[in-house]
Amino acid sequence: MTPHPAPDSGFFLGRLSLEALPLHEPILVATFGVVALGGLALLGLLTKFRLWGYLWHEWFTSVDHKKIGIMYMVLGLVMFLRGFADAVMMRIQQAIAFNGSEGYLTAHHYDQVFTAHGVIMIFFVAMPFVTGLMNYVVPLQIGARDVSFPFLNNFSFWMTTAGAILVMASLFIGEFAQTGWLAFPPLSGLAYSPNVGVDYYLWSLQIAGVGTTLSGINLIVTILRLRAPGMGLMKMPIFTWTSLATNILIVASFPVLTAVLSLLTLDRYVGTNFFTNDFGGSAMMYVNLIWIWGHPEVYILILPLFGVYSEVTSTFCGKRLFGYTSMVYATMVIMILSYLVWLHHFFTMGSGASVNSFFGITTMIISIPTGAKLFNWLFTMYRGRIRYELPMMWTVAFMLTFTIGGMTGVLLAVPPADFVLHNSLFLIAHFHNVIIGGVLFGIFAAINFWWPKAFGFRLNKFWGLVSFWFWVPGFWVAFTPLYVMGLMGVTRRMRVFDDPSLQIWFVIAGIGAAMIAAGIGALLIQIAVSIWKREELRDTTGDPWDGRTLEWATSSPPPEYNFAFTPVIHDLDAWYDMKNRNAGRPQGGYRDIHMPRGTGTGAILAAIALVFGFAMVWHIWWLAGLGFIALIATAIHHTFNYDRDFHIPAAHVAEVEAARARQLEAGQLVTAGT
Amino acid sequence: MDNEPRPSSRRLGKAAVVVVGLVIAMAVITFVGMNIWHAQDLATEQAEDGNRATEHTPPNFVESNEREPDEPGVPADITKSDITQSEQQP
Repeated sequence: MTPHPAPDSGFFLGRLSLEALPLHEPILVATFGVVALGGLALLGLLTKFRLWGYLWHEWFTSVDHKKIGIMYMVLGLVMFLRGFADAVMMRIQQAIAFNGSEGYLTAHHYDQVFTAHGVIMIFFVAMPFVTGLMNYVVPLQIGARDVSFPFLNNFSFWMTTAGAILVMASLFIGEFAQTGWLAFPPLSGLAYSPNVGVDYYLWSLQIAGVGTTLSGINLIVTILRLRAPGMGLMKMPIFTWTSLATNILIVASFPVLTAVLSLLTLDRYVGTNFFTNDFGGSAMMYVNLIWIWGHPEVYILILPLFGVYSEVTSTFCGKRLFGYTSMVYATMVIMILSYLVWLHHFFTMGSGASVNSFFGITTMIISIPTGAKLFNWLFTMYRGRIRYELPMMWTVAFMLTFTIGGMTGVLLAVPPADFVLHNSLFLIAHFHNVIIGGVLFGIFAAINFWWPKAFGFRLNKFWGLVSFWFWVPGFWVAFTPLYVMGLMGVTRRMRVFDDPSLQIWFVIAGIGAAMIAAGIGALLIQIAVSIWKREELRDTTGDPWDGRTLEWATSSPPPEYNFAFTPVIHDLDAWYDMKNRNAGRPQGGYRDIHMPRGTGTGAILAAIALVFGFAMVWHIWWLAGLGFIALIATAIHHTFNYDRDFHIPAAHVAEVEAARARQLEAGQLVTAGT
Repeated sequence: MDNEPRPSSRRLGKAAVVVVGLVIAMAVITFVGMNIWHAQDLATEQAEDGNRATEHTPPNFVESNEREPDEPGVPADITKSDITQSEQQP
């Protein structure tokens, strides 16, 4: 094994030394000094507004699935800004690194930037967004009061946050991996990446992975066990179905990620040779294993958004979803097939024609259930009374964008074509085509769709439209040049280019990134303006879109207990059915409601895990050992916490429901008056 | 649960705007500051004639680059399989 070159500062600090801090760089010292002052000001503001208690009791320790869902979304949004900053840096670098110029990023920095971009966007943006959505919506859609394991839910969120903090810490202390987002060995092995970057990668993903896996288990059990009476599997809302498929994928695939990262960790920390070039190691084993997780991961991201598009299309076309049953089967078929295609990520490995053919064909087969979904959405729109509100606009943009992204995916599924396009910018364009066009557009549709439910007022439409019209054309301006250059054979992750004729394409891509930046800015303005003008945008009905599923049956925002009475389901579109039958709201007969109590243990455990991860990265063994013991001790201590639940008195429920009734009456009077 | 009274909606709204504004300002400062540093770092490296493009190149790869190229040998006959060719070699 190659000896570790990082300096050892001794027993107490491991390999952490002042060298890890950029103290010798005046610009960075000034930057971080200002940021540190900002941090202090932030702490001062929270104290001035006396928000510490509020945040801790109402949010950080809450086990309410709705609040945890919102916190996931906030985490995703914050990390999105970081991930996008990395993207902007790449676009600038590639647009100017021509004609002898090396741009403005050293190779050392550029490699970290593209690695951090991928890791952050997948693990700490898309995953929190998707998990946040499922957390918020699924219990409401199935008529449950919370998830099955509320504490586990809080713990899962904080573990994901701890992973994100560890990645962000690498920005200030040490460095991040320079390996690409999947950290393939032997590059990620100790011989080629001796510093802390890959260790940050490993520990942040392992910590966040614990949260994701537990969240997956939680939501599966919730969906299978906590559905309202009458809601058989084939009466479940389609978003809940896609969430179920996603969480099955999570539970089945994330352990593979945990295992493969553990093996790489052993290679780096203990000197084993699972993935080294020598002593019987096989780097291709890593590539196989990580893609066995990696391909289902793509469907983990996209499937819930397919559910969002289904809900949005049905709602804004005023029709029952066309082909519900086929949609369910298509979802489950995609879920299974997603396990049978992983090798298409490395046809060039040299498995031979038969193996490549098998994986090429299974990949192409996935387009059949996906195509069925698209036709179902189109047939739902057909002769529907379409309302082009923002969620519907994002859905239409998705259909156009994702279809093209899907077709370029089928092209890549042909092994001979893949041999040419592998590792080229064509692949980058395809991937962003489906992930931005599918996942991100879906997130925006979902945010605009369910925001009124979460906060009681709609999002401002004007700024939403501004965001939409910057985002969608901006996407095409940014990524079409990558398709073109990919077909010309330009490889990905290049920092400097010799061929000046390519520059114009990178400049165009940069303009697209600027348009996307404007779209992101407009999104932030949309949220700010909406909060500012929340009284004008107030929704008193709880059902601003004439919704069809159960979440629209309760108030906006929903009370802590979601539903005063557990609803009884008679139809797939449960709330639409209730409205049609003029089902009245219960006015009395309330009982005490049994609810889970908040706890700070999740946040504490995650904080300890963060310290443990940091200590492992820097080889501070005593701190790592202490952290590990503290983790186990805190977990055991929590098992003796019997103060886990409470009852909301019936009188309080009656009070809340009466207020809701008054709000509804007032809303009806206003509507009648207009 | 908490003995402190819940902050008013107005106070929460005001706090949210200030806190979010501050966080965004910190993010922008970090972005700008780090990018200026990146550019300066590259300029310093170029001034020192340090070709950092190869900084991650492992030692053995560098050595192999510095080695004299091997004899090109006889071009392979692609009409015959590898086994056939190896069998034909003396």
